[in-house]
Amino acid sequence: MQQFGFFKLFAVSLTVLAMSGCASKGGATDEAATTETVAAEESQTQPVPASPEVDVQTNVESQGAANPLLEQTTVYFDFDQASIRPEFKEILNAHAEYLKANPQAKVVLEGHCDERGTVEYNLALGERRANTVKRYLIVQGAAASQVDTVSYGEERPAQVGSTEAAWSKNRRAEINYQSR
Amino acid sequence: MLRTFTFVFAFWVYSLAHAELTIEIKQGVASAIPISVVPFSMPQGGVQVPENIDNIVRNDLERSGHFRALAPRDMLSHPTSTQDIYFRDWRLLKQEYVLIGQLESRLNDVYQVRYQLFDVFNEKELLSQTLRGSAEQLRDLAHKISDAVYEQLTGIRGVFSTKIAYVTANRERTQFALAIADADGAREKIILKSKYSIFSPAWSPDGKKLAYVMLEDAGSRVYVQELATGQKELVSASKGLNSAPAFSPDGKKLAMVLSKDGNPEIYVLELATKKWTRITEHYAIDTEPNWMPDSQNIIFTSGRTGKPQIYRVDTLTGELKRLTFEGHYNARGRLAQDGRFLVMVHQPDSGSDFHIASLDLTRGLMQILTSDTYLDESPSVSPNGVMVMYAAKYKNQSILAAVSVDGDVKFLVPSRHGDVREPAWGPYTN
Amino acid sequence: MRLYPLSDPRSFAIPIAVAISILLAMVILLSTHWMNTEKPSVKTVPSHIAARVVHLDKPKPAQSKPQKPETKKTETKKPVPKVEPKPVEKKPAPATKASEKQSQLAAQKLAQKQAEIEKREQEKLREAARKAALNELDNLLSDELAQLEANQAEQDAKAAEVVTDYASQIRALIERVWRVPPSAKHTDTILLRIYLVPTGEVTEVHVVESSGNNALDRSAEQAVWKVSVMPVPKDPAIFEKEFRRFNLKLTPENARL
Repeated sequence: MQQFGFFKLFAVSLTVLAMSGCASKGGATDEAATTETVAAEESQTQPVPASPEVDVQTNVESQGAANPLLEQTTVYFDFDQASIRPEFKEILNAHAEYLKANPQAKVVLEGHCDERGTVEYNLALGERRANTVKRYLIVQGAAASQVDTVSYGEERPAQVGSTEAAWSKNRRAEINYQSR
Repeated sequence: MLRTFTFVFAFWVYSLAHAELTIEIKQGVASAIPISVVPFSMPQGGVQVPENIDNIVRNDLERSGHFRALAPRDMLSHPTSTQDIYFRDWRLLKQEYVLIGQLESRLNDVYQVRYQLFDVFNEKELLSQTLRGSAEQLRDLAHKISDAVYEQLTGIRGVFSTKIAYVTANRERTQFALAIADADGAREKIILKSKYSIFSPAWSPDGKKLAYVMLEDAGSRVYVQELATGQKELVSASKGLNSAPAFSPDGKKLAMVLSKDGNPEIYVLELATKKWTRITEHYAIDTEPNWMPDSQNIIFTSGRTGKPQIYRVDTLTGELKRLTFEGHYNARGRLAQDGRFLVMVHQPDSGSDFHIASLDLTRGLMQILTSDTYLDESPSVSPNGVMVMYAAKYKNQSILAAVSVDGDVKFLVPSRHGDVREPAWGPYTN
Repeated sequence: MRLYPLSDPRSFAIPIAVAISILLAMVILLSTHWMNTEKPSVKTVPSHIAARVVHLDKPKPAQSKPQKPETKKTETKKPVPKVEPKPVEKKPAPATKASEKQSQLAAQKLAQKQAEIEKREQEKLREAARKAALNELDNLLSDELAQLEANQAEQDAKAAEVVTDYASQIRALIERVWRVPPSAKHTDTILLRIYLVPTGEVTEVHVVESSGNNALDRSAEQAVWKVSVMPVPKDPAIFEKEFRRFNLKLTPENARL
């Protein structure tokens, strides 16, 4: 599921790039323009994504060259913290810009925790992490209506295990594009 | 002459002062009571009995930590009636109490158990009772005997007849189940299976319902399930968190956490009127509500000082009091022994291990109770306030373990499953 | 009493004799008093007195004075049945023996001193005036009393030491086996009365004051039975006086509640 969302996002970002290309260069790249339109149409008609992943994927592969930061959809946190670490601000900026440029795009931010601490406190902490990211995106230009949050607490670890390596991978917020 | 008199008088007074020697004893030991549970006599005619009653009683008493049961093979005799008991033999074996019993089978699958408890030193009967039940109830009868013996000898009500609820999960965390079992882990019954994570099971005070959280894709939801019918009712699915349910001791209210207003806050739902009341109001995390015995005050975890600590709030007046100050992380408070002790998940310093600790609220003493397990979580106190069952990691597996509130007794609860977590000790049922 | 001149040694023999006889009487009184009081007497003698008397403290006159009339009452009423029962006679025997020893010792010393005094006196009568002799005798008398007092105090101290020693042995044994039930509160108190035979074997245990917690009361009784043979002093006098019957006041101060 996640992988799939990824590629769709990629395709969308390509669309944006291509469209801006059209604007500046006149109708120079007709072929590209038509493919993008198709992709854009698909995503509009299918708010709940289902099957067309293969098409999108080929598009992505054929085009390349999107903002690579948009590929990164996970930001990590320190233990018992919900503040955004500086190294992830650039990634979030890219997503915020994208959301700003694409008002129809929608994301769900998932907050997660590692297994340490209590289940309920972690559920609340996960929500806090998701909310911090949400606020950041809004400050950076995304609309509140584009961003939803959910907390999965410590219930859906990215990596199973009781080591700091696993824990650091689990203290995270994931940006899940629902539509673009 | 005067001197002589004063001398005599002084001696007189001195003798009087010594008229009665009183030796003061200021301490004892908290060691286990030696008891012999003699194998009960079996029904005549070779009737097959599905349960070994004396064995269940022996295990119950042993596991409580307050008793040391002699193995039947180490007994000099196996008396089943009063006249067969030679107290001297039991004294030689350093036994203080002897429990004997007879099991008889009656018509229509009915069994009758008669048991007697004897004080070895005073050579007298302390307890005797006759119980009846079906084959399926034999285990209940055994737990009843354990309860009676335990209460007689420790002065505390037994909890062997109570139930526990807990959640099991496969290693991949794709299958979850909510289960109920006897306090000793026997007779497990799964009441709910789900692909979604289930946590925070909470008993209604009558033991007939369980509230719990199910973490669906869209977020957490609170349900209440009737145990007899298996019917489950969605109690709260508002935007944001719906979590940490807790029935008030009077059974009239359900406290839980909602974040529909932006932050996790404690709310109380009046069950009869469906009226919601918001209790806390703070931008920090407020969660894990648990009622005090008065059904008015709630203890809860709050991150309002930056790190989770435990507070108490009066649901009527809103009066707030911080309860924990010692330690880096204190959460999921539960009260034990009429509110005298606060049991919680405790992390002494940043980076140190999470253990279960108890705080004596009158003396202000914090004691870390667990040490053999790690990532200790979800403490749940037995209704008699003596034991705490909790979830922990042990040998890389999620298991249930128990520890007494004084930290003296510790044991692991055996499990046939992958991971077991979120224990909730049920109330007395009669 | 004052018929004898001060020069005569007999003038102080009387007070000493009085002292010794009172002493003797008391030992007998006290020992027979124990023998006679069975269970009922536990109630008649207010138990709070028994409990309050912390054994080895030096008696404070202020504390013990108010006790005097009460104990006297019970004792003055008893002399009649006291001497008659046979077992009673047997038991005080060692007690009187001991006090006999005491008085013998005192008598021997007295005799020695008396001889000395007589010798000196004869010389002095010849040499010095009667006044001087009187002075000296006065001094001697007070010395004598002081020494007697000192002897007595020493003996008492020794006895007290023995009692403390055995009491603390008993305390240690009980503390080692007293299994305090988890329901016990650190403020709970049980008062037990223990009866021993001279071998130290426990013959009876009575709950004089209950803690209100049956399990705790039973645990205290059990602790005594578990010890079953208490260490007691070999000296029969001390045994009779202190250990044939004594109290145990149990408070589980290390209980969590």
